[in-house]
Amino acid sequence: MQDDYALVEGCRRQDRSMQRLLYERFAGKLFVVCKRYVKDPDEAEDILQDAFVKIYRHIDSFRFECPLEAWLKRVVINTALKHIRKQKPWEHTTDVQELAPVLPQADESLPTLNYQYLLQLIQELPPGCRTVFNLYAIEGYTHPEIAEMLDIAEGTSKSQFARARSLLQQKLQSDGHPAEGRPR
Amino acid sequence: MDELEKNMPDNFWRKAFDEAAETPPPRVWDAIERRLDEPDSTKILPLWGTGLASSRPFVWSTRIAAAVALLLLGWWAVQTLPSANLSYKRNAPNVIAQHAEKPANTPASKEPTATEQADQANSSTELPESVASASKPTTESGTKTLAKSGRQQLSPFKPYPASALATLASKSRVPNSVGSELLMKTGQLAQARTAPRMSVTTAAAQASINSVVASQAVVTQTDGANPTVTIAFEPLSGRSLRLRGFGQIHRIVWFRPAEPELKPEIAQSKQRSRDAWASASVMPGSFNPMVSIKSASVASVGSASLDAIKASTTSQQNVSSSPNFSVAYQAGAGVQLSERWSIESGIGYLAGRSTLETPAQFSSASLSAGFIQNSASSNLYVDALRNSIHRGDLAYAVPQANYANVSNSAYQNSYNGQIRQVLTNDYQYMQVPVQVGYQLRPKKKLSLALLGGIITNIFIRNTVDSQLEITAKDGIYRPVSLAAAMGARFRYRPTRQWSASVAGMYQPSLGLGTQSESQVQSKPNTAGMSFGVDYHF
Repeated sequence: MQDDYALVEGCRRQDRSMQRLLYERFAGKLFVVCKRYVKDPDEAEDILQDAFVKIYRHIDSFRFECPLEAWLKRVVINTALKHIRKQKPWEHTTDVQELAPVLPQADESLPTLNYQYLLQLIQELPPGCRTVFNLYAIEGYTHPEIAEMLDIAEGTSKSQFARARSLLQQKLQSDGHPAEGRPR
Repeated sequence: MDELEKNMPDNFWRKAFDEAAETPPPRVWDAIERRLDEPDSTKILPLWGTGLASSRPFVWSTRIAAAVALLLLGWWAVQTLPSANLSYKRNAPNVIAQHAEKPANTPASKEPTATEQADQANSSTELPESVASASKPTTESGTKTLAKSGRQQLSPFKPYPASALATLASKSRVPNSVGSELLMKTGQLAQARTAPRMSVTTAAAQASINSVVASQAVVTQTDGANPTVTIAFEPLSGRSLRLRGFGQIHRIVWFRPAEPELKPEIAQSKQRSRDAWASASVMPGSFNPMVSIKSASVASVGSASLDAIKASTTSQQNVSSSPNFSVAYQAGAGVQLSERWSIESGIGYLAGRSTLETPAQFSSASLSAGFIQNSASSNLYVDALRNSIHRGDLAYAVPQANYANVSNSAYQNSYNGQIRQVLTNDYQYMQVPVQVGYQLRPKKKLSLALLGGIITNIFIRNTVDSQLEITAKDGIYRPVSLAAAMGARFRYRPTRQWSASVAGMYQPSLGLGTQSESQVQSKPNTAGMSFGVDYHF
């Protein structure tokens, strides 16, 4: 935290070296976050770039009320969502009630897999499903929060998540990981 | 962070990406640095306003302020522009006077402005030092000097080089200078001619100027050696370059193109609708003279025919005419009075034939059962015609012997109803129709018009059975008679100028076609189909 404080203070002074340190420290993780939300690497770079510019320009709004990494991650996610929102990936979505019988449950017995493989699976998802899955399964937002963030219905969020999980389980099963596809 | 941690439905995915990291390419940081160096001035000012700007009083006060500002701006423009024009007009003669007053050999007394330098370049003949050096016979020094000065002063982005222009102008106008009368070759002349016309400060202009000076120097050097063609030329004096400043417009060109005289729209429509045409037509049809023998007037005729007429009256014998083929030719012209009404007239010729059946006269020589064909002056019709001929023309029209036969009492009962004679009558008329037409389908390619009017029939002659010819001078037929004309006409106009027409016409006579005192009464009528061709002007 002490290092984070120094980094934030340096960035508030618009110290370029401190800005660079902040970037080098968190850019790797945040870049993966970006890649989880968009399939195109160039788009991920653009999102990361926009996010860091926002971070540097609004660093004064950070009050150390949460870990710096979490704040940075939220800025990146918001930037990614703003980028995705322009593409309106939630049009022509299905309500959750139609998919309720096939909703799979969370499975904690999954073996540890390479994140790059999982990242590839996530990137293969349709944009709407991918976003909801990221927000719900990885970031930890609830469906009402996701609905509000994405300006969609809560049912849409649920259905998109269910569809993402279904697609991911099918993919995992086809790749030789049958345990992930077993509903509970 | 609590918010993020409170909902973890799938720890597998969360853990999988918890420590995942991937170094972004260096270009990302480079782009971030560039953007950080840029000023953060990309704020968007919403026109609709937020907060105070969106409040109604603020909006209205802004609108009122904008309106007042526009009014003030308009007032300023109205007050300013006319005065600017006046000042320009007032100053314009001075400017011209300044140009005119500049003498040919008077140097400028004060430091000229850029515009005045340009003006002086065309009028002043004082040679600058660079030109003086260039006019020296030494080729190298002259070329270098001017070229050097040209390079120094001529720039594609600088104002008009006054000294360079002065050089060209003075060279071409001073009689004793090199450029006034050049002995040069043809190729060099082209360069020299084009160079003074240059008015744009470009690199090409600089090169041309240099080439002129160089050529002049060369020509000067070869003056005595080569007796080439001597050409004196007067270069065109270019317009002085005047930089246009910002602000008001200093010159307004009033131009009003020649406009055609405007006529009232009603008059134009009338003029447009007055379509005129000429036509030629032929009308085959039937002609019926409707001949009858007037018995009441017989008493006034001479006693020689009295007995014969009495006999015919008492026996109820009369003539009957039937229509036969006729043809009428007509050349006419018409004009459209309005969209629907038209009037037309012309001149025509009618050749009508009719068949007439008349009681015949008893005659031992020609007696036979039934009809007597072609028996001259032996029937009621012919006798009536002869009786109707005026006495003065009697000898001309009818042989006296025949007429005596009619008066003979032996023939009193000779017009027997059982013996009838058929005669042919060939009528010839000149016709002058005046018709009014009403268009039922105006301005259509296939038009339909109702026609009505009066036809003036001018009697020419009537030939009875190819033997007896009655003319207007005989006093039987009216020289001029009137007939009505009515009908309908279809006109097909495929082109603007040509049309074809088909008309059905009926022309009943409005009165007797014969004189009232004549025994023979005729009231002819004609019916037929007219086929015509029209040319529209």
